[in-house]
Amino acid sequence: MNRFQKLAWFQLGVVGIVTVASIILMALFVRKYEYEFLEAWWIGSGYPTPLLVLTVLAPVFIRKKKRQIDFDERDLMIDRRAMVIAFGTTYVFFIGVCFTTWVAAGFDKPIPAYWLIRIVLGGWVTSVVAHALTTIVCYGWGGKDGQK
Amino acid sequence: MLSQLLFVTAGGAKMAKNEVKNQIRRMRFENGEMTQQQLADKTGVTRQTIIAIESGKYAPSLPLAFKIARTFGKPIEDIFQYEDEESQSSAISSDA
Repeated sequence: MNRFQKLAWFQLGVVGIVTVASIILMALFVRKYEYEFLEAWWIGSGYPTPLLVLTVLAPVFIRKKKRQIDFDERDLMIDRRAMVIAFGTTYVFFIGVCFTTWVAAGFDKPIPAYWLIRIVLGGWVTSVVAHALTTIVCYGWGGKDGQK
Repeated sequence: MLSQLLFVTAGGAKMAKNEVKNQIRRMRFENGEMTQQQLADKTGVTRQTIIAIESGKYAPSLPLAFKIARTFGKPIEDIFQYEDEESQSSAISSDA
């Protein structure tokens, strides 16, 4: 498994941990403290969200080995493909969220400003997951072209 | 942009099936059982890329193909053979 595959798995792991922690906290707030769903969602997913910074800091933890060639034309091709797919997925996400918000909030109603932060964070997570998944799939899930 | 993305991902675009076959594995063994890592170091790519090229999953760029051929001291045609649908069908008809 090369460095880019490790980075992708690390990012997916962080997003997975944040998602699971958010769901557990949301359930806790709804069951124990009897919050309404939207409130519980806002508070519950708020606490683990800062952990998402780890997806940006991933290259600090997974460092390049000294004197090792770890990036060539194939890696560049895979990275470009992953970026295009991540961009497209995020674009679709934003369109979907805008329409959903428009329908859910009402056609002529305002939306709370904090929704925008959630939408931006959602777009960021979507792009990270799409990029990581495409990277992993293009490298053959780490097995076929891996270090056998 | 979105429609193009959907068109391609939904399989709307059909490209001609091209294949680049190679003799890298054979050439490595003929050149003192050179390892994939040694070839990777000589051509400036990762071992994974050599594995992907050998197994036909990745077609190298022209400069990399030349580098590999020069490493073995052979012309590029001896290492890489290009086969498209047309050449495959003509080969089948000539055999018949």
